[in-house]
Amino acid sequence: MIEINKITYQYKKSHKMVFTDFSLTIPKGNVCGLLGKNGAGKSTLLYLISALLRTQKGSITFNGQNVWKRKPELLQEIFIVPEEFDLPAISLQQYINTNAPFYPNFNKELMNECLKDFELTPELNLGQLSMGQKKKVYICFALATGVQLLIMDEPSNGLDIPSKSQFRKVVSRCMTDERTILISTHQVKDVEMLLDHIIIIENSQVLLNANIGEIANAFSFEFVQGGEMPEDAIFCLPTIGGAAVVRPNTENRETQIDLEMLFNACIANPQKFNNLKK
Amino acid sequence: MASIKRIANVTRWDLITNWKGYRSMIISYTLAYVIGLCIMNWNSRYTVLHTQEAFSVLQWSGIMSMTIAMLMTFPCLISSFINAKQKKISYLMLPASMTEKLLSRMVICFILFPIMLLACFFLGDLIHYLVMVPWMPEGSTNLAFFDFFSHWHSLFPSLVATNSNGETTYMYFDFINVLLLPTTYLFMGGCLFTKRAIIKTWGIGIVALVMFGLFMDNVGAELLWNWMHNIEPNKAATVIRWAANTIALGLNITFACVGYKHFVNREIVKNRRFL
Repeated sequence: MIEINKITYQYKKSHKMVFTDFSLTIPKGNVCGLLGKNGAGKSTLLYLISALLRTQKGSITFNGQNVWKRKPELLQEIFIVPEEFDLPAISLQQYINTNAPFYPNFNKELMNECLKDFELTPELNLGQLSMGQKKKVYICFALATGVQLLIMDEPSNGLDIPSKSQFRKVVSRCMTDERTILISTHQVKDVEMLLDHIIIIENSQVLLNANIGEIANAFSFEFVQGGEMPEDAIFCLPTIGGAAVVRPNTENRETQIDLEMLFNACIANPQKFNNLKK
Repeated sequence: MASIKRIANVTRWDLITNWKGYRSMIISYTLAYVIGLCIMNWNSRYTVLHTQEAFSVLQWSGIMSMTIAMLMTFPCLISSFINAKQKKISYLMLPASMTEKLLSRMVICFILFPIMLLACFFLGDLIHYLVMVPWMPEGSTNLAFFDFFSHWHSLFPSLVATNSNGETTYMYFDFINVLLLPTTYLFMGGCLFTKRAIIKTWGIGIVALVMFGLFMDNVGAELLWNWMHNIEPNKAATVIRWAANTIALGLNITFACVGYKHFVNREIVKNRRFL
């Protein structure tokens, strides 16, 4: 479990205050989606959780340990896939031989299976790969490390259309009860079927922090034909022949969560989501 | 507790991941050194070495100056390999403590540098030998590379100097401090600055030297002169040497501590003003 306790963070060079007194709890065993507008601080939060940045106030703990201490025992349970990364121009085998010894739970068979899912072979030279292929290899390695906390920043960026479904497949395959995967993305459609916990942040505040079941119980996502909107609609998006609406689920209907609609509704009417902040 | 296994893993990771940077650095350093060596040795004849006569002091001081200059810039350059954001993420996320990462960099520095230095001597001599062959007198076929080692032991007595009373003074201790001071100083600079670390560190060093010079010129020199003349010259020299060494040692420790502090608190963004 990740506990973020009243943190304050400011980029000193640009004087940009990103978080003030910000608190959040991320439960373990979930594929958690971190959503927010541009500049809301999603990537900064991921870097803070990974101890790549240091909070000015407050603390961040993972499994009860302060992440900033950067203890090897803790670091071997955290892996981050940043939006942009650097892979050395060496063979994949050499890359595995160099990096795998740091992760005691590294599973080479799983790595090969994930590569197969992405239609890649283990005999690769990382220097000859495109950015998208490098990302697939990096994601495969990240999943094979067996870490408890896997952080991904915009993982579907740079992946082609078939690779996006392959990505969902490999992530689902590697998910366990002990593992937490934290995904920050704007491409919500790419990960919609994957997420089982949603966090929305805005202006240093948590607008939503709930699992998919809780969201589905509280709201329904419907398509309304014609021009008349339901009175209780929290958010509506006009489309051809009607509108997509988010409304309170008073009739206990089971509807498919539309993340884009959920996000827009949450940003437009944050007070309606007060019960789902935790 | 630092783990030797993790230090070895980080060192291996560092060398493999940054091999292009290390390759460029070693090639450029070797070329610069070999060119310098060839220029300095151009007029020397190997018969001089072969007949066991003293190697030119000028040549020795030149070679030593070059070696020290390279040793000083080495740590700064090694630090620069993790300055790019993506590289920094991979490096900082490696499951090893920052102390282990720092030790691994020092291992690289102190293993890679002597190997490079030996390669330089060998290359420099080989070039010199090949060029000089047509003019070499009969029997003078020894390479200076090997002669350097045969002379190495005779170097140590010169580092343990004797004063006018015939007493031994530990110049070797001075030598170590002289080498360590700029190394730790630049190492601190490498940890402190993310861009143009060598220039910035030297800039601060020069400002400090000028200030020290001005201080000595205006106040210190006279005080020092008076103090020196009130006691025995030999004792004064010894006291000054030990005082200088103590200050150098203190500075070494301070630089090492500041460098260490900045290294372990390294973040992926430059979160300090003016650096």
